[in-house]
Amino acid sequence: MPTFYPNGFTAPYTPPTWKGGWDQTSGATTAMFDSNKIGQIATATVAQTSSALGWKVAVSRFVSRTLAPQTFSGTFDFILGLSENNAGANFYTKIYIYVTQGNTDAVRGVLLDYTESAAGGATEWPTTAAGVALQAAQTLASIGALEGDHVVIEFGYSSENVSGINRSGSCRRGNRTTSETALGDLTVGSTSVTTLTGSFNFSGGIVLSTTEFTNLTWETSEDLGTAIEFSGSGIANVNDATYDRWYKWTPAVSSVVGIWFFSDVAVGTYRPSVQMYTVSGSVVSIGNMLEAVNVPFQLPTVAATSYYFKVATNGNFNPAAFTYDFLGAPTSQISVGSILINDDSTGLPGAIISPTTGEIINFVRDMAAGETGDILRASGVMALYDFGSSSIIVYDVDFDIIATIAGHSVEPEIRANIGQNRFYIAKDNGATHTISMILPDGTVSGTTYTMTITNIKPFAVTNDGLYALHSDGITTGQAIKKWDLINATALADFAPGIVGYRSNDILILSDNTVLISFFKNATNEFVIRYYDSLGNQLNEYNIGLSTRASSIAPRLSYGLDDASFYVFWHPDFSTNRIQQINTTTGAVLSTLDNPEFEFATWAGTETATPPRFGSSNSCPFMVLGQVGAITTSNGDGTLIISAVIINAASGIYKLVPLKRNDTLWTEDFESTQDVKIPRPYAKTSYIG
Amino acid sequence: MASTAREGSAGESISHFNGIRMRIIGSGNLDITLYSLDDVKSQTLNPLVMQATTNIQPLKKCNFMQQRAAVEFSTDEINEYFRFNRIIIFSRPVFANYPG
Repeated sequence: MPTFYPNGFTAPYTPPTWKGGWDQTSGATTAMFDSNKIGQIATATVAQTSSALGWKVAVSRFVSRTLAPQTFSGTFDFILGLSENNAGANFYTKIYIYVTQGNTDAVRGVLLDYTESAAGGATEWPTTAAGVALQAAQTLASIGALEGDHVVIEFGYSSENVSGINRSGSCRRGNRTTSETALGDLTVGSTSVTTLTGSFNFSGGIVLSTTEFTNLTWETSEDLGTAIEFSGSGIANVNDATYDRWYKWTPAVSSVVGIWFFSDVAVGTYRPSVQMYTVSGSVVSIGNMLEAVNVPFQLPTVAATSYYFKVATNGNFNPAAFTYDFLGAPTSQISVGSILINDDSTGLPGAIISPTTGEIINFVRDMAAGETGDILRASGVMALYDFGSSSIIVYDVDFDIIATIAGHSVEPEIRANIGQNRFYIAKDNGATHTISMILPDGTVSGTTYTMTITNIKPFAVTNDGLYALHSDGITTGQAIKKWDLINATALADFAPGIVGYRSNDILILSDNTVLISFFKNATNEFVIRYYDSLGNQLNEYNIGLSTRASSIAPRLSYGLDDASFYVFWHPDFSTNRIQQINTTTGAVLSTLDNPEFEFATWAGTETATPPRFGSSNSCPFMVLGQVGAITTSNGDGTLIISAVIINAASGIYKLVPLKRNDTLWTEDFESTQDVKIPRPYAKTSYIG
Repeated sequence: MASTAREGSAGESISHFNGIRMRIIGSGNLDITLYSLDDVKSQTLNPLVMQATTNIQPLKKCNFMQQRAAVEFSTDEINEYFRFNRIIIFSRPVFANYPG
């Protein structure tokens, strides 16, 4: 007789409602039953909340894996370790078995609805737990099931309690010892209910779906559909047979989605290993993401594109069951002071961080991935180096690309210049560097300079456009050097270096004062020095110990004005900390901590409640000062952040017949923009 | 549908406001909201998609039971507009008054 086991494992699907006409379902549990013996033995106990005659109490519900198409026939019986806690309880078995319609609460058909009773000649549950079967095997209704349906067994007791006191009934489930040894089968009358496993017996058998326990390939992946937010479960290992699980997902809309395949975080338990792919002629990975083990990752998606997830066995655990959860990223409107951190892995999105909470509030799904870049304070235009295309990509304040400047096979230094309102670019030619300029409209200025310097890492040009401050970013103790761009000559050093430290970033503020960061690789010490325009040190700020190596050294960014600047560093290996610092005093004005997601994957420890979204760890970051509405943009149908710079107090007041909008000056007073009238309306007087 | 056309206030009787017929042209979506006295209660209807020219006087059904009601028409996007030529609001009394 085909035998199945109530295993206490997470149900593959949990119906929202109970169907069996129970008077009480509170306290009842839902688990899985299967042909394999999995899950450690346990006891489910439910006390009745009423001792009324015939009070029907659900104790447990068991759900099968997905079914293959079939028509049920034959009989059903069970042997379970049952008990009532008092001889006066007089509990009799009640059982209700039905077939779902896929993973829905709808019923395909009822296989069995059966309640035993004293009047019917049945035996009540024993007070000493023992194997109990039905009074007689019961014939199942002939129900036709479809692929993907489940069998659900609702199990409990009908009380013929005469004591007037509420009693409780217990049911054993699970098929393995705590050391994962499979148990033998319980027999009727046996009291070995903790060392032998109960069973369900379907004489006609249950044919389970063949797609669920075979080694899959990306071509035969299980289809997760098109929704953005959903969850489910799977198994990669049962009875020591291991399986690769492949899932296919084709999101209907473009967005950024947080994905998490997880099991248990306890030591020695199964930790699913997930790899992510797209298929374009061959299987390729995305964004350098290698593997996520029990931790979340975030994926920028393109609508109607299929993504594949391979869940590997990752060791021989028995069982190796996991849950997956897909969650759409926040798409909140950004506000002034929000932080943009682009990624350094091609294909991964730029993260927008709240200026108040430090949490992710939005993503720029399609953004350059690189290690250098900056933002113009006046217009919000950004220039970012993109590894993938070896180009500098210039974005307007709406994150639309306004220029792509190719020909940078080596990552250039990019630094905004406040006085000239443009970017200065240091292009590495080997023995020399070419200094060029990118204007706010994305065009490259015709003027270039040559610096006969081999290595330039931190780099900035003075507000008058005449001199470059630089060092090589490699040599410890090296002075900050000064170069005459016009005459192509090295000048006297701007400022001395610090023994053991190397410099990382140079900011020249609009008042010509200078901020330079220094990092000591050996000890992770991190300091910032503040200079006047002549290189005289005005102050020094010790920020802390940044736990990362020099390749992921702390970074600096301009503030929204000269009063403050921002620093991005790593107090530990899973936190990106962004602090706003008072320029002249070094006082910390605000601290934002954002989870670190490297290669799109959470960098912290495995926990049951990990952050679902975060930012990369070693990238340029920018403080957004020009932000506004959220619109669809970027030419790919993606909902991303947009911005409109409007001087809200600059309405143009003139009568224009049939005009149906308001016209405002833009912030630079050089053009106008039509915006909606806030809310035109007409309202009747009261009627009635 | 039975309807009653009235002038002035019917006093304190509680009426069921059940439809709004409009002779209207415009562009965009017309947002329609019914309000009770002092705007304590309100009901927002599905927006009406307006046409620049039309041969139809649309009827929007509603289900709003109050002693008195006002109807507000509005737009919320740039370049949307509306122009009414006629508004008929259908109602009928249901109860005489609230319990004293």
